[in-house]
Amino acid sequence: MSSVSKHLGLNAMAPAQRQAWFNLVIILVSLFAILALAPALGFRRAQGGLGILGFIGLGPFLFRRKPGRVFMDERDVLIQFRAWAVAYSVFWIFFIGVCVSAPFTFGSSGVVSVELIQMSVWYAFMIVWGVSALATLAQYRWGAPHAAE
Amino acid sequence: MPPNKQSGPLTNQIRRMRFEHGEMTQQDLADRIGVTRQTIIALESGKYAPSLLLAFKLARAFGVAIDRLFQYDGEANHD
Repeated sequence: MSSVSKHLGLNAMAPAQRQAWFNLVIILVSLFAILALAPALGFRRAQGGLGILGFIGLGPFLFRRKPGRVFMDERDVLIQFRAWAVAYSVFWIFFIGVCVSAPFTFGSSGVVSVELIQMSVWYAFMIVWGVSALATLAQYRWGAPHAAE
Repeated sequence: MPPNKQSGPLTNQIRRMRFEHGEMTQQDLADRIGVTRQTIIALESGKYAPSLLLAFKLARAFGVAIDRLFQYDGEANHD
């Protein structure tokens, strides 16, 4: 297992970086599952693939603090803060876009199904966690905010 | 000693100091000042400018004054 980690470069990554990759993979697997199931089960029933997102909850257990080693330092905290700021900014842009377009989609006195509201919660979760993971990885790769600024 | 590939107004001599102090590894330095090895890598490559507290911890780890470890060349940007 340690040789696999070394080959994938996991040992060279910060814990937050590894967790971001893990979250991104879970989100992509979930999307793939929905797209793969849709032809056979129909789009509505294929939403069961969203359950895969639950594995994101395993992240804190898989990438927990190792005794004697620093888990997150000032740079990691800055990166996480900025990543979540970007993620929520993107979410709000999507949310406002959906709200503004809703009357055109459903009509000004239209009805939005409970199912659609339920699904939108999970897709919003996907957007927030996915953008956060991408922003985290981009900062680790190309540079992060400076503490001195 | 490997060349320093930093850019920007703030440069540092962390890599050179590590080699001058018994070829200290990045992990050793990280453990000594309480950061991750990845932060040491980012500092040495100029991708991250530390907080004042971290800068002082680094200087203390090498037993040097802070301005021997960090250099600021921002005069070129002044009007």
